[in-house]
Amino acid sequence: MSRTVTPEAPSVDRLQNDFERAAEAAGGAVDLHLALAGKPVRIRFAGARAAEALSPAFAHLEAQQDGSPALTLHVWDSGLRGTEATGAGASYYSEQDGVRTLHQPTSGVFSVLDADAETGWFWMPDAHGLPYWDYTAPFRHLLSWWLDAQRLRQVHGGAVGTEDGGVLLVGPGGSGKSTTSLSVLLDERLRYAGDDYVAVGSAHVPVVHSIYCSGKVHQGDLHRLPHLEPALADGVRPDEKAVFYVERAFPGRSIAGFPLRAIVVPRVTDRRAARAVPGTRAEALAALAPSTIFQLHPPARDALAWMAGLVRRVPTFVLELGSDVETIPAALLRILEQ
Amino acid sequence: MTTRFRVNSPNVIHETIEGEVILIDLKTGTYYSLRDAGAALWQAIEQGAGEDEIAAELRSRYEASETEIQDAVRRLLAELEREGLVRADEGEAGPAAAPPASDNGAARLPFAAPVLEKHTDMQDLILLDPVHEVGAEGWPHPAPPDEATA
Repeated sequence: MSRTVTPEAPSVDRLQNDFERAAEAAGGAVDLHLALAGKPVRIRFAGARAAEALSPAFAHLEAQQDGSPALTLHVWDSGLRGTEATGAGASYYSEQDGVRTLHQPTSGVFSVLDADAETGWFWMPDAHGLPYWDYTAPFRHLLSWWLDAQRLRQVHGGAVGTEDGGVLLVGPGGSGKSTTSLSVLLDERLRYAGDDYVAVGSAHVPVVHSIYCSGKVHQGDLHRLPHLEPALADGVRPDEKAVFYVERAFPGRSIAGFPLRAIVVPRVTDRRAARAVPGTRAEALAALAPSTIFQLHPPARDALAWMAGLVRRVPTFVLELGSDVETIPAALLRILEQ
Repeated sequence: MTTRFRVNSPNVIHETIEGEVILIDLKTGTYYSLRDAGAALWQAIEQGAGEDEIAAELRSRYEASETEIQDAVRRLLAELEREGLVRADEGEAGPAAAPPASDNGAARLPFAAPVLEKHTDMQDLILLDPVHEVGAEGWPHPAPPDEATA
């Protein structure tokens, strides 16, 4: 494709003006207040249509306005209906004067964060045209940069547990993270904190913070999770993964976070019942680090050392998954009892 | 004169945990692991040892003939170099790293030729969604119609 270039990313002033004009045209800003990693975050959507598209993933973190936000995100689109991303593609990243910018041409999205000003901007062509991996995990890159500034890390993993503690489920796509995460909805004792991206704090006792209450599974795997069928989100394209919003479909079953008790590496086996066996820390690091590092934009060179520090602090288990999904919650509870 | 090797930083990042080395090539998306003698060899590279010193270090830790260890070291170094994980430098070897295990009376372990385990499942992610850091050349955007048809 032929291309020309512009010398600079959009200026922060221009972004703010664009947002305000879009909000005015859309009938005003719609504010969503969250408690994310225990901090007040305000998401300002330009109009109800954008809010409706991207709010459900945060439903479990909604909170009353609590002082001045630690982050304000401005979110708008240009109403370019029918602008649908067709797949992943190259991204362009820059960092100048503390302002981080990512442009993803295949979806048209711009993400900009001024961490010092605790302000971000997210523009998309059409709020209802994002691919499922974006609308189920909105503002992922923006939030990962902001989490860095809070001394937290966004990692690629699921997380489930109880108020007293939980586990981080790690591994590449297809390893069973989502099935394991969503299986906890079969057992009242367990709570859901995410199936793909969560934040982890690096305190002496690491803490997991939920970011999204969305969940996704391949349509072909739905028959293994029949408890989810009534909870399917509307509007999912047939060629995409099935999408769930846990807080909407199972009120009270998601959780904002918990102390991290163990790292769990799911592994698909030909067993019937799921079983947890001790794993090595190297297994945990190999399952956690590459997929996290390559999904961060830009890939973080220091993330490997940070994750090695994390896996040294908690035990690792391999969760051998069997054909019977209903046995997974009990295996997870046995890990937590240890 | 001996061949010395350096880790191919900053493209290659690595961590050793419970005796196993995890290596990630940030450019290609490939990641690797080394255990046992392979991890010992990597540790010696990090400490600036040359090929001969690496072989001596492994001989002090493992029960095997000199030839067997030398061949294994040469093979693994060549593979690490081929994978772009290390770069060869001709020159004086660095100071010997840790004192050989045989010096402090520890029993030597049975030797198995080290294996570089290679994982390519992340490469798709890099190919599908590479990240380009934008420099002075600026941001890409679609060309105006006259250029697009040029």
